[in-house]
Amino acid sequence: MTDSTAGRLPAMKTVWIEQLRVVGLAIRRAGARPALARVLGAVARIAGSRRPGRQAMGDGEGGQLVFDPGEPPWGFFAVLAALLLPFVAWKGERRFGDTPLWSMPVDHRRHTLLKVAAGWVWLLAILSAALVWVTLTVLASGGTLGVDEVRLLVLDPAGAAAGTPGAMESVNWTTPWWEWALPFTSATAAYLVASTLMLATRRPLFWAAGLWVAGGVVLGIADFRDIDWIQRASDFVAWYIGGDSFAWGMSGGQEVWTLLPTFKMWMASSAFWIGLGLAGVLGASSRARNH
Amino acid sequence: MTDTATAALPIDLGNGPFAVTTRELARRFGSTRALDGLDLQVPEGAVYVLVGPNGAGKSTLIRTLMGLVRYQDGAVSVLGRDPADRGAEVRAGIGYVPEDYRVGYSWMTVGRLLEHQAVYHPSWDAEYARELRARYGIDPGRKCHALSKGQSRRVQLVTALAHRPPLLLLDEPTDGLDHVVRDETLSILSEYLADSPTTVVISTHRVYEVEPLVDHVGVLSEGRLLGQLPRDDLYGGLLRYWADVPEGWTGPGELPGRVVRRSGAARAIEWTVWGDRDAVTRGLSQAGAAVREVAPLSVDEAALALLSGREAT
Repeated sequence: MTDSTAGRLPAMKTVWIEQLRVVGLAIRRAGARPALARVLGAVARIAGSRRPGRQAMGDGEGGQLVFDPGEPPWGFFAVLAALLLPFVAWKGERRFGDTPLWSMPVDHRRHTLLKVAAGWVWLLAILSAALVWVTLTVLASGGTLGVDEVRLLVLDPAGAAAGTPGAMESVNWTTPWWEWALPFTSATAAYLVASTLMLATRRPLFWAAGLWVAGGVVLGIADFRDIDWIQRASDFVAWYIGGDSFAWGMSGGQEVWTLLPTFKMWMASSAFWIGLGLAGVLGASSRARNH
Repeated sequence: MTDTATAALPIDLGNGPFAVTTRELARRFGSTRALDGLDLQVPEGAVYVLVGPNGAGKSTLIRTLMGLVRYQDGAVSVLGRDPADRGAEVRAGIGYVPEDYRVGYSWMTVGRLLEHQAVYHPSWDAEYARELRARYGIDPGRKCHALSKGQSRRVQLVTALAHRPPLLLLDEPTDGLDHVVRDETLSILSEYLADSPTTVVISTHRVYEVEPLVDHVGVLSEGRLLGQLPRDDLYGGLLRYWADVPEGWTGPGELPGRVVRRSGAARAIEWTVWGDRDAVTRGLSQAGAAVREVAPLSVDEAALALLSGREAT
């Protein structure tokens, strides 16, 4: 104690480090370590079995392991972790009541954003750890990172289906550098959107389920009515979260793609989704100022 | 026979200095007025007890002072600052025991929770925290979710006191405590007040438990203060008069004081009156009543009289 320090505010750096520690503890308490170990174990088993099929860590030519960061399982793992993390990070906080967070001598909005940022740092750390693990597993088993292949790009879907010459074009495809960042950006966007639901709604799972169902209905209508732009938007979203929906199938041992993702697409979708998530978090954190 | 009148006890405590003031403070939740033009004045260094029934607005008021509830009308000053604008600075100077007895993060151990609190309060007195923990018999290795209601309250009291704040806001602090721990808590609070220049606001409907500490009283009902005054003024000014009256007596008419409560049967009548003792006694005597006894009310009895009078009007 102290008289000189009574009523003094804590340093923001101290609060930030404490939030990192608290969120880290919450993740550990939630059993994330065993869960991560199980995921990594599963990845190692897949690597060991060298199962055929289209997957993030699949067989290359000659049976060697190939890890493509733009393929579905890896992207889905990243996004799933990102969607679940806010529930862990906010565990124990009564977001709409006298939460421990609100009672502390820190501005409510700033405190909220610090906690969200702490969760994001942990998300990146978890994804990085998983990426390093997978990379090491692939390299240790003599595999390669990224793909170097020829893809068939569909220029005319109807013609391609009918086997019309010139409807498809062969394209040499090498995993671009930015595909290694794609799981991180898509997970960041998913984390921010999930955090928005967490901060803005009393029942985030209810809202998430509602949005999921609403999306399904919209897609169903788009499919039924053949509304092209909704279907394209859906493919785009699926690609961004690791759905790989531009891959159409196989023809003559080559992958057929409806569209090859580009740096511009990645930048535009990252800017849109992360911007949307950030706006949501900033807006929802304002609620904390005004109970 | 029971007859009551709304008492209008003093509300203005003068010029201060005050650690906490509110002026025409209002907060509604939907159509419910939780705080309705409330003028609170808590002198610096006072132990101010807020008394009122459930739903009177005590917890809403305390949460407003903490900056946890945003008020809609009026003005608030806590330690010279408005909690709506400078909530962080206000909370830095407050030791808070909420009405809710759940402690912090349920998954944390008590020891980690205290570390967590220490990070947020540069003035945290680790030695004092250890001493309090030992006196309360709190196991630092225990998980917060495994604490009983009484144990949680003790942990909350440790976290409220250990950073030695200039203002304590205690919402039902003795709720859930057994007699022994309650006495220990009052003893800790007394020692704390002797050591540190502190203002305390205690909200409770068990006034008798904290009465030895209290020096100011505010009676709250339906979001409004029925009165706030020093305890000694309450003892001297709000008195109970027992009197025998003749057969067919119709009442004293106008008394030189405010009748808070009147009750009794047949020829023995009891008045609770706010006013000058001699003048009220004289007024009753002149009206034909024979005053047998005059006695002050405890804070608890005074609150009950004021609140039951309010509720009957």
